[in-house]
Amino acid sequence: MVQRSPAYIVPATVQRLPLSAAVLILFVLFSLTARAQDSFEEDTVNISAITVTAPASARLAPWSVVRVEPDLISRNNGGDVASVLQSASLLYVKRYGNHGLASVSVRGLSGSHTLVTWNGLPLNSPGNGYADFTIIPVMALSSVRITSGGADLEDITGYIGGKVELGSDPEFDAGRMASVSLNAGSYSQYSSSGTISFSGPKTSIRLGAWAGAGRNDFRFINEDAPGGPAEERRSNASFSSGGMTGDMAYRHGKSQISAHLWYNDSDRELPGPVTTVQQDFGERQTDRSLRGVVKFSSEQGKLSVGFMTGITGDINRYYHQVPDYNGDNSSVTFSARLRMGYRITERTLLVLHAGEAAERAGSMGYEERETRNIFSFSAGLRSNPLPRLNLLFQVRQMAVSDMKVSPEFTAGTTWMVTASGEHLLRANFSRNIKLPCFNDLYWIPGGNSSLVPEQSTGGEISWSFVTIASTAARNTLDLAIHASHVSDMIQWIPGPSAYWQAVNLRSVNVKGAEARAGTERLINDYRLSGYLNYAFTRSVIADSDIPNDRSAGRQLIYAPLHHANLNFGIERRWFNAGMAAAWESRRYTTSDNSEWLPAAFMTDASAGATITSGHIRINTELKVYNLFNISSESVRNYPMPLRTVNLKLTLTWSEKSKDHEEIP
Amino acid sequence: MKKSLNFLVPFIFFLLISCEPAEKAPVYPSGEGFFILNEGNYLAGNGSLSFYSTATKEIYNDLFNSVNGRALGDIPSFMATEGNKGFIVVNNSGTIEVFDLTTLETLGTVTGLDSPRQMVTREGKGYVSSLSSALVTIIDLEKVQVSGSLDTGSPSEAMVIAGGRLFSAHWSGGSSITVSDLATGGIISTIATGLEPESMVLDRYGKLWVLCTGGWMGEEIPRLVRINTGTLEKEAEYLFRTVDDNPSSLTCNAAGDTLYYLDEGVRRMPATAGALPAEVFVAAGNRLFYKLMIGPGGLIAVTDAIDYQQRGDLLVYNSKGELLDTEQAGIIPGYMLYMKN
Repeated sequence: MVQRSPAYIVPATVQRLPLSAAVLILFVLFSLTARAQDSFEEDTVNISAITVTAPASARLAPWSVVRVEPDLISRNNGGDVASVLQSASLLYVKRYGNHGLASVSVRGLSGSHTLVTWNGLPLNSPGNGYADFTIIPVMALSSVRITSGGADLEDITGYIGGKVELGSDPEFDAGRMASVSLNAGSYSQYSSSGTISFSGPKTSIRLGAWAGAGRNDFRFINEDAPGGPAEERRSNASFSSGGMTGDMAYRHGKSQISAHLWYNDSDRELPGPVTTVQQDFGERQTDRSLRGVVKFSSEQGKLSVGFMTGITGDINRYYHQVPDYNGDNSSVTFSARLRMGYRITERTLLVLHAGEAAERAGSMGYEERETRNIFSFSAGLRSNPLPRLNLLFQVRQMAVSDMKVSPEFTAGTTWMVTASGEHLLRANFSRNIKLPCFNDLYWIPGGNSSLVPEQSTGGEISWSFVTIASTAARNTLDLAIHASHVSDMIQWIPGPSAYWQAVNLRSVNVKGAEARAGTERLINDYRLSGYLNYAFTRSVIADSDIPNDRSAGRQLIYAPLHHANLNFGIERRWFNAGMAAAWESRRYTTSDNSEWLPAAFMTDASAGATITSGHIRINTELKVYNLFNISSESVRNYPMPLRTVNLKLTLTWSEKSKDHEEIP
Repeated sequence: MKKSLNFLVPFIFFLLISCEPAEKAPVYPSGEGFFILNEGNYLAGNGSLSFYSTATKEIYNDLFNSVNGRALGDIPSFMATEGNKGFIVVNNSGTIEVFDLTTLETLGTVTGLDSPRQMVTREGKGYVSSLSSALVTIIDLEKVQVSGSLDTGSPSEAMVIAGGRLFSAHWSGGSSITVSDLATGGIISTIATGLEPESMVLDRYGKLWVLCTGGWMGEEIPRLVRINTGTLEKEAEYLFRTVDDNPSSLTCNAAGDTLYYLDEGVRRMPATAGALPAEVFVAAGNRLFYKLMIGPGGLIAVTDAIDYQQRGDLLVYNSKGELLDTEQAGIIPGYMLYMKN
């Protein structure tokens, strides 16, 4: 960390070394007492499928749902979720440099149009509508599910772009397990994490903690350096973070209750753009959050019930060397959601959702602490009148304080082209909305309390293909085309007083095509996997109420027309290696498309080894980010690092072997 | 051998001549015109410099980058000149870019400034106001470096020098003008104005005109205040219509006898007038005027930033308020400075 004047340093950043030490000691004690039991087989082949597939149940949904493979999540547990999504999904990640603020957008819209949940609890800030993916550590998760588009109306409120569901799902009957992971990387980046878990047939407990810090003074190419592009070092970009999670679950028969807790703390410097000399204005940001969720689900005969309640509290502070500029934002969101499913007939299921979200946020930009209540009710009817045909009809109505909201609906169908379900056709048509965030409504100056929700109307047609052979080989192919019209887009523009204000003034047409292809196969002792994702997304401003606006017909800013990534992995006995390449086409930085960032191509490569002895397993991995040392920016003038390396060592003790998994 | 040498001499001479750096062609035409600072997007660092030639009636964009191979910075907000040097205050970069006015080649960068806003020059010194600091930074214009500071007691925006005194307006959240003695650095007086004095100008009669916006929440009715720079007394005060009025960009013509400002378009009034003009001189129409500049012969230039995320427009009118030209400038075209040859 850089030195800072004590005047604007909050001494909260790092009680994380003790945290790490505690985890390490706990691990050592735990592993010593439990040693000398079952042993792993030496010739075990580890499965590390990398990338995204859809679980069987989600395949029958009439919209695109993909799941990031748990192994990929666990292999990236020293990093953040943004990195995982960028290299292994169709989502576009917009990052203010390495460890800078990161948002994730789906199908050409902005990050504020993406709903992010953790165990069902919305994480989007009521203030600005965004979730910062840089401060969501992979460590806190065991599952990531992505829904493209806003057709799924089961949540309390919609986000029209899509949904990223993060979960820390319980694992039963896995015995006792403990692991410690240590990371060291370029530019003084260090992190450590540890988990312990106990699980039996009915109970599951998992505790985790992590801590990390880095000077982050990486090398980059400054295209605007005097005299032409020059290699420089980033300054004022250090970070530190840490946190803890706890997950407990109990199941009995077809009922399950679980509780989840997550504390997160991060402290980052906020470097400015690099177009001129890099200067230190003492800008930094701290984010602290505490989240808790209780979930219950049960199924009895024709009735199934699910309940989730949770609360998230976030404190975000901004510091500047001029104390007058300091910012202090906080928010609390309480959410509760009830789901009831009733099978009316053998072929028809009625699903009802009722949800309440009470949002409260404070900011120096608000006149007072603002509150909002959102109550929503949705009803869905699922039916398969023919053996291969599934139909879905959903409606949702929200009741929002001080705002009139029109009803939303989705109609969709899936058709199994082949009886085995290898080939599947899906289609949906939907109208859904996104509520304005508090900043849009209440920020002084410029907040506009008369804003109406943004509305999206559109549909999607997709074809899904999957084969799973008895040899554990799996091939998948998903193709989708989608189109939607978003009206009443909210944008901040200068008003007559020269202060900016939020208004509903534009409409956007989005259309695109997506393709996902994957293969996993076992050839002799080699397990090979390869995945390709490609998205073509044309999201253009259809019309505008701004006089003389030249943006009509132009691509939205920071929405690449093409996005693709390729993952390849190979494993044999103790050795594994992988490569991930991501490509994004030109990203416009002005609404008239007169300026843009050039296409970016990033390649990461990794190689690792796994050694097992008794109950102990040691994983080592060397990862090279930006293998080809290519200069790139995700946000204009906020460069990403040139080549960096990271070394990870993971020590795991497990009561039961997990290395004999079968490919699902 | 000697013949060979004889042959080589003119050849080498020719080579030497050839290797002499050719005089660089100017990136903008000679003759009169004005610079336009395109602020760029906040935190994007994509501010730029344009020049509009009144001779060719064309705009020349992205000049600083073209010449110097780098961007101007984050929010260039003001420009001043001294001799053949140009000084661009780059607000959010905390810098002042110094360049040759003929070639536009950089002569240096003053760094470490605390939210610099505007700059006035006098006797080889530049005085730079700050949005966040009560100190006006003094720049040695020859050495291109900070040489001192002046405590004005409050953050400042617009500045005027008259009679060896610096008048600095406390704009953001303020309602006063601080008068400082440039010789001693001490504060002579603080003159109360309306809320948020946004811009000010000195007329030919030595009167200081101060445009107060009334606060960004419409706390009070905007007003135009006239101050006697000799007595430092407030002489007159003209109220606008309602708290919803949003006047800005007060400036005057080269003769200093006519004031201009933006208020539902361009309005103008003689410096001797006893009331604000009732009529708009150049109606904004479907434009959102952002900044205003008055050139020789009553030339009027205004900018329209459109949605502030795309290249904005420059509109040039003659002294009768007739539109002469519309050009596309950079992103958020703002401050303009007329240059005479």
